[in-house]
Amino acid sequence: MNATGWEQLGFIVAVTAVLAPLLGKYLAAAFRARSADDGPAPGDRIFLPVERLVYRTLRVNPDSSMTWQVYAIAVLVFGLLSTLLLYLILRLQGVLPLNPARAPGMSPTLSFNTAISFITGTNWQAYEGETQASYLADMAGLVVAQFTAAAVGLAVALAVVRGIAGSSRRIGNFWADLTRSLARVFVPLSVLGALVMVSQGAVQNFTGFRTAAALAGGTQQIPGGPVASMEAIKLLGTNGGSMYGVGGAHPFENPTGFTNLFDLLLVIVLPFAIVLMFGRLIGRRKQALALVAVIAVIFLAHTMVAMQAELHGNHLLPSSVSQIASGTSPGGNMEGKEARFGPSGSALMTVGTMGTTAGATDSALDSYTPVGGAASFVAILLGEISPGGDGGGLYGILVLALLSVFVAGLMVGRTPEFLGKKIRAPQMKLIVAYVLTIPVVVLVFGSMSLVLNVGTSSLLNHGMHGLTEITYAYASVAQNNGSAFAGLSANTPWYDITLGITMLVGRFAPIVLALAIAGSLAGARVHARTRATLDTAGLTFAGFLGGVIIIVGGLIYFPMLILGPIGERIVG
Amino acid sequence: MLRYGIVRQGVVSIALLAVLTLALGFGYPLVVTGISQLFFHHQANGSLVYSNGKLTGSALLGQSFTDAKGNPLPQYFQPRPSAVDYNGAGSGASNLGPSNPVLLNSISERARAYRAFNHLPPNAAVPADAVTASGSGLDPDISVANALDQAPRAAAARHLPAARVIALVHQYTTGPQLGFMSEPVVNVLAINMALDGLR
Repeated sequence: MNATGWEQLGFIVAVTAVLAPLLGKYLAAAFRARSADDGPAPGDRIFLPVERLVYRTLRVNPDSSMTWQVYAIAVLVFGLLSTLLLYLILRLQGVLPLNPARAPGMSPTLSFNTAISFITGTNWQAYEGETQASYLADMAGLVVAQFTAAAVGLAVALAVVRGIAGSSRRIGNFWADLTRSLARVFVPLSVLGALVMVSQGAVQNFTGFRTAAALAGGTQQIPGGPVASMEAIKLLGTNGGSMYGVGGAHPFENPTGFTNLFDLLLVIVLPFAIVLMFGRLIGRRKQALALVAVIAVIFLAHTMVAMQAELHGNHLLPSSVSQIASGTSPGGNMEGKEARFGPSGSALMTVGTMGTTAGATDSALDSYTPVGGAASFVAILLGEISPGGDGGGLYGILVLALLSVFVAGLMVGRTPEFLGKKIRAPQMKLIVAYVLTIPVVVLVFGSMSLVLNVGTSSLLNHGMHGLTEITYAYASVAQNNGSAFAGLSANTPWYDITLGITMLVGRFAPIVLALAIAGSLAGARVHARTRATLDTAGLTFAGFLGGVIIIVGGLIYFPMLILGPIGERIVG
Repeated sequence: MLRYGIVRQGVVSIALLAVLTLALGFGYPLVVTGISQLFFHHQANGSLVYSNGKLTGSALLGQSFTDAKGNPLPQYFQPRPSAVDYNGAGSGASNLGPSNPVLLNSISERARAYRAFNHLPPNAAVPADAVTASGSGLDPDISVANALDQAPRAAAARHLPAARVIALVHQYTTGPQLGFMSEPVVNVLAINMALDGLR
């Protein structure tokens, strides 16, 4: 890493370290179950009337708490109906207004894939943003899905926390959690984020394409669109889907070095804050700090490896191409990267978001060096917990913490307990199902694509890099990340359908299982802490948890990594 | 199934989707557009650049400086290679993997052409950004080293002293933003418009 890289990374770490605790405090105040004498939560005067209006329209009682089964059913029914609505919008966009690029309705398989992709927060984009989606589909379809995907994640995390730590059999009201998440977190922060981006040069208009007479003759089409408003919730909601095909590499989405770092902060600060909120909600801030320590170490590891690899450059290029960074040249592996970001700024933003379900990129992952690409891949395979999606990161790491407690308990011969509640066979069955579902789907569909002609015929790069292209696609969508080794031509019926199914399983199986685990612990007896209780907030446990994450995430996929990026680096 | 209230949850879902489509699908982008157009009119509309009252392009989007046959014009600074030929109706990177022979061959070929076009010695080191396709295909910038390599050639084509064009490169170098947030770069459209204005 060079000085620029260290300074940029240092800036990200410092701002996150300041903002995440403040935001975590705000979140805890906003979502804590309140009694009359608690006093108002911040912003109640603005938010409460809005929320009450929504509850009245929906005719729901926000105080009627649900069992985990009802909560899960509400999530699934809402997910199903939102997917249907989005599917209809995408199919019909050709005859709907606000369509300056004259995008025709998407095909049934592409609509299926895209609708699921945005409802699950994956934002895998098998379509070309500029020409295949209308402004209406972007605004009223995809952006709404980006808001709800984020809010559903946070709502489920809140319910899981109530189940794991609370004393009631019931785990909260889904509609209230959803409404409060949107009103108090995602909408206000998105407006703010969008305006910051516009001030730097991100576009926000409805003019469609303008034709410019280029300086050297000929013409150039200049795109428009409500870009910044989508960009803000794309990042803040850890979604990752952009108006333009190349996402954050496009100068109209990510115009300056400042927006590049701002984009990364929009992605990672909130998931860190949600973990810190957990500490406050359960009244054990040390517990949250232990989780944050594990998350931060993993985040720094994959991000810094990628920054160094991209700065070092592609060793296969002829020596007469200067990849050495200097005061006048960014150097490094510049294929698929923008000059203003340079190799380390690009890797920082792109691989920095890979441990979240955003998978937002400002450069072409397919052209990353094998080591840089592998860093991004590993961040996904470890289960999206560094720092994870909004909400998903928290319930993800909590499940892994429960698994670690169980393994550690067996090793020292004590009854495993977390936050005073015993972890027994019913919980362990659900936890193992949670951990295994995604690898099974990824490896089955990935292997099928490697041997079937419908799978391999979509490859741009062959050999070991091709294996990475395919397996990365399934791992990315299964974890609802959505970033791509984009050489793969993914808009074919085979990929549209199998990737769509993978996204559905990767989103809703963990949600239902996490709620089931929480439900099975909800209302369970809380045992007092004794000297014999395993300390889950200390350094030992944090290190142990890190080990479990690497074994569970890393070893399942290790053969895939050997045949893919590691092999490419050694043989290439 | 009835005891979980599936129908009830479905009705609430539909009502909520209606509310959210109105509030977030239309209200939110319109509010952001309104404020942006009011306070950041220039940026929100694409940082458009005009010359003699005609729309020439955007300060944020690169464009090609070639003749009708696609050959680079020597009197202009040349932008980075683009996977979409600077077509603003699309965007894209090459997506070629680091070990793909197609990529390695085209980089060697571009390096050879770059040296010939800019009258550099046959083994001169070429800046990486000059021979690699950008992430967006619309990269507006080139590195300072790339611009300095091109300056004498652009000066010769315009019968200007090289020192004058080199000075222009330094004048049009922007960044690093706030000292560390971006790489120092030269905006190709801006410096080429300045070149046209010299004489």
